Amino acid sequence: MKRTLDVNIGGFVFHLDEDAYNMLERYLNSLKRHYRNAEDGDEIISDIESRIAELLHERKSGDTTVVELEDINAIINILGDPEQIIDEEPTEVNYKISKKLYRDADNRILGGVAAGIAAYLGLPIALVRILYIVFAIASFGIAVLIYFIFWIVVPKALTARQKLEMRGDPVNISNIERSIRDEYNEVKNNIKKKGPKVKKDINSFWDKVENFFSGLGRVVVILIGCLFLAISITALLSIIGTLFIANWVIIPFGDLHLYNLVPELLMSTSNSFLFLISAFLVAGIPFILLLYAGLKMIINFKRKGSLIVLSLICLWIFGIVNISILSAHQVKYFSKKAVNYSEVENLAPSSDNSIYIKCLGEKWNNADNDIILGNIKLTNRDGNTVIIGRAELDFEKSYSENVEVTVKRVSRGKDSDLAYENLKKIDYKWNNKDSVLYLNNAFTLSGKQIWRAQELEILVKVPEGMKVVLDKNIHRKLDINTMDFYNYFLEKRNTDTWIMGENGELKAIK
Amino acid sequence: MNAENTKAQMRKGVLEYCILLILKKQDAYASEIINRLKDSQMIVVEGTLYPLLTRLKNGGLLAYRWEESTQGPPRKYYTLTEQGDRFLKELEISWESLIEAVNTIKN
Repeated sequence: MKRTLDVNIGGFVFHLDEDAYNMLERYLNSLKRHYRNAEDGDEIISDIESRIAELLHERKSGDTTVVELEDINAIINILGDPEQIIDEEPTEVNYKISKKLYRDADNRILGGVAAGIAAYLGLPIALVRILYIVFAIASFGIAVLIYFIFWIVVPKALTARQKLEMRGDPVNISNIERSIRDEYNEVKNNIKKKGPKVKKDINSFWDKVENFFSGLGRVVVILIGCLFLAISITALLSIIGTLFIANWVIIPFGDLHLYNLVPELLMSTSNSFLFLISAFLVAGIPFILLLYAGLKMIINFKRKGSLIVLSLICLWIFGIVNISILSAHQVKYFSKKAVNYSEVENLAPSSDNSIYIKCLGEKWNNADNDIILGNIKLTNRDGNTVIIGRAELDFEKSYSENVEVTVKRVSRGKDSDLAYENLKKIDYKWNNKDSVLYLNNAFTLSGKQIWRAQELEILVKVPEGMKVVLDKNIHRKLDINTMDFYNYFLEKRNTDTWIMGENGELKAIK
Repeated sequence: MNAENTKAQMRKGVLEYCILLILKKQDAYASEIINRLKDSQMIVVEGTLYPLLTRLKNGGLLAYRWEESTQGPPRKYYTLTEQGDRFLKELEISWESLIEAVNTIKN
């Protein structure tokens, strides 16, 4: 006599005797132990249990019969030992096939580009073709060029695996799509019945064309890659030379040495190094990316470059942010403006009612290695870099009978006092004797050479009808602020005698 | 060395393929699949099928629906999915090329 236990197997009640119960429990436990951590382990166990229940039902006819050890053993025989079941497990298999874009050579009319795109997106081929034609019309034919690029670049799906990758995971097929597909297939079949030979000919013809263009395309790609390389290397060398190395002889843009420039323009030199680095990043990284693209076109290495590109872009943004911040810092040094007019001097006109203006110094655009930035110039004096500013000459109508000459100085600074301090440092030499005004072409700065938007203007007020005789080519030295003046020279006439008109403008007289 | 081991290895590799082939013909219960395999002299223990079927289902190659049964609990009625169909096609190509390769080596 044995005890029976009521057991729930797969949702059904069975009466097992003790031995049968123990055996079954051991069996299921060894399975459970193995599948405990498996992702689908529970499902597998429950499937096996259901099957056990099914088999038990088959063996046992009535509800009241007891399941005995030999029944369990027979079932284990059918199902297999735990070792056998576990052993059969496949190793980590990935049934998923990632989707890649290929050209569908089997379904092609031209190059199979549209077919490949259709397969990738899971759309019917006819739809993609129609859309593409619409796109081609709308884009004025640029779509045609794009098609050829795809034709060259996108590989054909040749092996079965590639064809599988082309179609990838199934997209949820809706009834609508299915019916479109069926219709398309019908049409295709009709064409197929009529034109299998035609299709073959088309295929072989386009194959030849395609081979030709593939070869050509590769050559083109390599040429473009070389061009990119050349441009980027030249540009990068220039940038490095400009920013970091003074007197770099080889580069085309050789004159500009920011390395010298920056201490003048910025207050503190610790910031200037950061500025230079940031400038290099901002200017250089686009060319580094161009270099990378060029290399990739030529060598075609498979390294995944997206990380490199991403970090380069981040550096570039960093550079821009830095430059913006540093520039913003500088703005405060220019916030306040100071203006000063010197004492008025008079000129005594000559007997024929003329005054003469002469300029000392060279012309402004000298050919030597000076850096010109607007109205200031950086030049080398005794091994030091000094700032030289171009003087302006302006004429107005005098309301007295006298010629009045005054010099206006302008400067900026962090606050009004500093602005005025900076203004006082503007040095300018000029002289007047009788009817002649002797002007220097440029002003200099005393003390530490710092640019603070300094300006200098010589204002000459002339009574109406008085003549002004200017030095020949004075406009190449000083910056003359008279519209008529430049218009006159634009007309390529040359004169040195002018007369003050009623409206305060000088008029030329031959 | 026991040939049985090698035979078992060979069978193991092909079992997936066989299951897909069976389901391609028509949908079936797990027990029906087993019977078909046995009829074809593909010797396999029933229990080994369940993990395999579940894995194939989770991989998207098979799908099932529940069908009530007079003989006991409801049973899973397996069917081949479209992805499974494509996977099968690839396996068929592999099988053919494998056979050809072996034949070539034999001759």
